[in-house]
Amino acid sequence: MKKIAQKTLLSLLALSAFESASALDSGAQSLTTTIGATDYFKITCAGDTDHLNFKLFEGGVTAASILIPESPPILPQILNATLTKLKLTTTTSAIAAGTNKDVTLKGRNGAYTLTLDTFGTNLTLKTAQTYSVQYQCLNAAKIVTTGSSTLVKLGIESATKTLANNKTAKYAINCTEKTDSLKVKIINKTAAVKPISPVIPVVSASSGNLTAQVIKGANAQNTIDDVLDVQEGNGDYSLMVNSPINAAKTYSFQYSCLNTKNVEAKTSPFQILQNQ
Amino acid sequence: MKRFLFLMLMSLPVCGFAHDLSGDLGEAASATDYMMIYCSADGSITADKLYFQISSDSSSSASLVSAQITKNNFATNITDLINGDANSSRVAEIAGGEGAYRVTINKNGVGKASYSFVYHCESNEGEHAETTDSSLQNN
Repeated sequence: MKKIAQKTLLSLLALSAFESASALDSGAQSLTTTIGATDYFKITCAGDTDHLNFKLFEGGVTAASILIPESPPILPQILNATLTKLKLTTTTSAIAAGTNKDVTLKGRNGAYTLTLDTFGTNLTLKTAQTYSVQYQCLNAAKIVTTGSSTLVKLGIESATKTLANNKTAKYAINCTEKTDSLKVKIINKTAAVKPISPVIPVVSASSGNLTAQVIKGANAQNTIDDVLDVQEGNGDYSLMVNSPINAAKTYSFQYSCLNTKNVEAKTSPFQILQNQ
Repeated sequence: MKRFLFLMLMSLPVCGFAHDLSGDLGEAASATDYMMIYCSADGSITADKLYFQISSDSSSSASLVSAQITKNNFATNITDLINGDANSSRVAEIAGGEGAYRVTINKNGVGKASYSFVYHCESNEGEHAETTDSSLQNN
């Protein structure tokens, strides 16, 4: 069973050998060892097409081996924690997904308020963040005193909570017994988002084990690895891919209907006429 | 520059007659000779298929010469796997009936190459049907 994938890898493929400012369409396909095996396609160009630009690559669709510009880093999801007691306040900002930070406020005995928010987080990431909290009331010698909260008992990590973007959570913590300060550890348990690795065709040049022909009207051109420009205007272009040695090969190709200024005209997705 | 030598020409209504042509492909890997072969009935003999076989005549060529024949939505490729020897490619028999068969001839690398090929339209019984051709491109 042949794997057929038709993709429009516009931005990725535009980074390869072509200099035109056009978007490129592409196809990925495989050729079997059937004697005379030929894959046969139709590509329709419209608009103000002057020529069809085409290139053949040996190899299937796999992890990229070509250089692509480095994407801007994905901003993380973060939490901010603020401790307040009367007019005293302290804040720890940007507790990123998968990390933790402490926030401490010297407020002596009494009721503290812990406020958590998501200000500054990456709002394109819609999943609510998860976190837990652990706190200690400490005396001047940093010895644990006593305290209580509706959130969790002193010194114990709370159950995992969730906080959606643009939301705020508040907890009351009450410290007693000659407390000097309250120390709260906020653990952001949100899974860190990893950049998505693009999947694009391997762009090795054909070694001659594969050839492709582009035909329109009375114009027929053959290619191994050179870029073809078949100048026949609008209409249907025939494309064949075959192997002189009947090799089982995966391959990909990219094409674009271009006008006289090498700007993308109207390029249709290719149509498979024969798949061998 | 291509040379087309008509060794036996078209449309002889004799069963078993073939048509031979030869030509050259230029230096560029993109070089493609392109022709149409037209099959039609010859009296009571129907044109059911096209018979086609190609031979690479350049023993010094590093590139393999191939031909692609298409009719409607069918396409096939034939290649002479050894240049300059006595053997030709496999025979392609394209059962496309009457009408125009598109033939392209090319190679899988740079360098000049010479080739020759045999073709004719025939019935399912192997009788020779009306066969004509026209060259569209010669490079």
